[in-house]
Amino acid sequence: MHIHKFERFWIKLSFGLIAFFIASVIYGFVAMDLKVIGDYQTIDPQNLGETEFGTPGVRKVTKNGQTEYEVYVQTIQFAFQPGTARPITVPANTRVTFYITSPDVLHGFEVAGTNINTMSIPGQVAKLTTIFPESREYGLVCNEYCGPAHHIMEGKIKVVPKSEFDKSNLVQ
Amino acid sequence: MTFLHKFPKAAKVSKANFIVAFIALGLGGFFGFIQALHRTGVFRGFFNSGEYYTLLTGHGVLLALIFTTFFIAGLFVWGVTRSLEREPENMTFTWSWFWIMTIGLVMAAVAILGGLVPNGSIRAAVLYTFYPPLQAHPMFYIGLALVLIGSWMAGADWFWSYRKWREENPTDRIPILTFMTLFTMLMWYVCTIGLAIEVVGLLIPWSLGWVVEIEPLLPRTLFWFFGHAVVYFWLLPAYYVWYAILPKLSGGRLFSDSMTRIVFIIFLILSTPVGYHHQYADAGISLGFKFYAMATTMLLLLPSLMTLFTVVASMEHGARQRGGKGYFAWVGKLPWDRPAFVGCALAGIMFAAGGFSGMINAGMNVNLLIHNTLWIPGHFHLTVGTAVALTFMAISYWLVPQLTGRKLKFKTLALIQPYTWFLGMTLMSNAMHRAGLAGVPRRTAEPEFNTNAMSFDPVFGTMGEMKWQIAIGGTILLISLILFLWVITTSWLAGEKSDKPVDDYIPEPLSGVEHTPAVLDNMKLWFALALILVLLAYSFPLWEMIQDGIFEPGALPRPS
Amino acid sequence: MAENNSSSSNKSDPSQSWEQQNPEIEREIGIEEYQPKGTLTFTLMYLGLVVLMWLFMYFVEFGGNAPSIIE
Repeated sequence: MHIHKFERFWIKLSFGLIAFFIASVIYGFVAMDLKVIGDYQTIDPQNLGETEFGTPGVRKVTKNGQTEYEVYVQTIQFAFQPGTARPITVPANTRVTFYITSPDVLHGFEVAGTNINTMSIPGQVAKLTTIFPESREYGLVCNEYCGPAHHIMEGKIKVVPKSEFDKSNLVQ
Repeated sequence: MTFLHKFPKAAKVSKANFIVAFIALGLGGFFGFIQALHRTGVFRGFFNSGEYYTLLTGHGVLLALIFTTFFIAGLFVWGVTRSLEREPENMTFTWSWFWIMTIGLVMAAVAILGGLVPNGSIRAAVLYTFYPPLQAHPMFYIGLALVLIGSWMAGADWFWSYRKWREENPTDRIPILTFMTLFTMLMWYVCTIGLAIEVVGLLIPWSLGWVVEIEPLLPRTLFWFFGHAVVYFWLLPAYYVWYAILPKLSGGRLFSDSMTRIVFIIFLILSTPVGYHHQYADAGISLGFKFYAMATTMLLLLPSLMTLFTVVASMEHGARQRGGKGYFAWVGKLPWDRPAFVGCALAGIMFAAGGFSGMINAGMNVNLLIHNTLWIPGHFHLTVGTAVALTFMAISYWLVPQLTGRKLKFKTLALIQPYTWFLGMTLMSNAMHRAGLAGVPRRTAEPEFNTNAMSFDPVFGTMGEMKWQIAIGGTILLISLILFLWVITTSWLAGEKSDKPVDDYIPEPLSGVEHTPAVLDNMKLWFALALILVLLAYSFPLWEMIQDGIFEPGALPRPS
Repeated sequence: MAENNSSSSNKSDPSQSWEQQNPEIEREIGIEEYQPKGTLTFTLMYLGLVVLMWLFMYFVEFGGNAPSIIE
């Protein structure tokens, strides 16, 4: 086989580029805490009422002696519950775990301008943990087509300082 | 003597496929223009925002599935016939696949456009990914299944010609045009297994009401089993043009026959087990399989980077034969005044840019930065929307004269056309990438926040400037499309008749097939390897998904 | 490529190569002689650009875009 020496050199560099990309993804994943969601659990989308998703909202939990929060979100045609009618309010600099699923069709759960971006698939629970570093409001967007009024589906996440976090609105 | 005179039967088949492809291109492109104005809010008077998704489905299906498939069929009929020097074996069979595909296309199109009829019962606003539980009219799925079956028969037709040719030429190497065709179709057979199971096994029975519930993740996974390889089904015919024809249009020869074959083999092997890279953000798929998909996706950069080298080296060879010198100056000696060359070359430049955004998409975690944002359509308007579509349009300026025996008319307009496409796409896609980076979602009629007084915060530029670049870019693209259709239609109907309307000779490669190892032509070996890698990627996750029942956990259908 | 030379050409002299028959071509460059140095230059520039843009997109745009999924 006749391969020009320049082309041999180029192919070696190409392998190097591929290795560099994969290595930087692994580095980000392990050392910079830039994760993606994995497999968590399935759920019956027609009977969400019998699960925690039946009373969606923010819950307080204690893990390893630390106070953390859990947020159960239902994405429905064409709203986030909670998120659309009232914002999801969580404290800054605290671990928050979102559990997201859908009773009807596929939706997206994108916190605009951040790396929090996941699909909400009927029958699957998406689980992701994050820490909001600053107190501000974030827009919440459905970024998967979910029906004729898809474009009105949006919400808000309100991040407040830890000291100002009002625990009276928590779901028990 | 040109193709029409030597192979009149095949020329007729190619022409029929091109006619369907160009009608789909015109209609789908026009929908794209309406969308560009609608979603930017520049003009929303054509349709209301609910109907936007019907147009979006039409745009995606007509361009990504119909225009491509029919154009590719016409191109491959031309290439196989020409390189094996034989007409199709049985014209009844050949015309039957064409008509099956056409009937399927009409069914799907009627189902989609039915959505524009007020209070109509036929709808298919499910976009070209048609994720359930959003449900389209059964005619949509049955139409798609017919297009698929027709495309399988088309592939079988080309294998049939090859078999017959092989009987008469037992020791010859597979001619390169046929080689590229057969490997593209082998890849198509591997990846369409997923689509066939999804559409025929799940969605058709479900849309007819034979089963009520559906498990959304399973069809979505099966779709992406097919859904990334399909982009290579579009791209490989563009590579086919760049490898086989572009070097000659540049005034040179293909740099290396063996590299060409190796690239197509790698695409056959790796195109399908990468599908989870469209599901990095999905629950229900474990990290291990997402990582496997990323590794194979990144490896797929290799054949495209090899193509970059081989194709540019072939063009440089042409430029130097035309008197080009130096490290950079040779570029000026390329025939920048020939529409077929210009279109292919500009398409290649756009593909280099689209290649970079594709690298970001492929990164398992960095993908979340742009997942389902406008960045993604920005990316694939560079790849399928330019690298593929502009190459197809440009090479039509060279192929249609061979198929009709008529010279090209309005050569100046034909020359302006690829430059305008390049300009329109530069405006539109750079703005789409940047808007996506700010978090603006794709697939929405009104991307702005409506009620919350929130706004997107762009990293580069302003939202207003991006909006205008998308609207103006989309308008320029429509003008370019009209120029293309005008030149092709007038040349087809009224071009000057000629025995030799273009120089259709293709010279041998610089490093010819005599240097190419025989193992590269072993189709069974590479096909088997492709199947093994697919089994590794998909058998376990699919098996896991159906453990609780194929349609469980089930969701109810929702109207689209 | 199993191409048929009869489909070529303005002139019919089969001893002439395609390059010799083509008036736009100044000189024929064979495989031994051809060094694609311009191609290598362009591809290396592309590679450098891609690496820089990746570093920017990954470590600045993505790495600095918190909150992120940490688990």
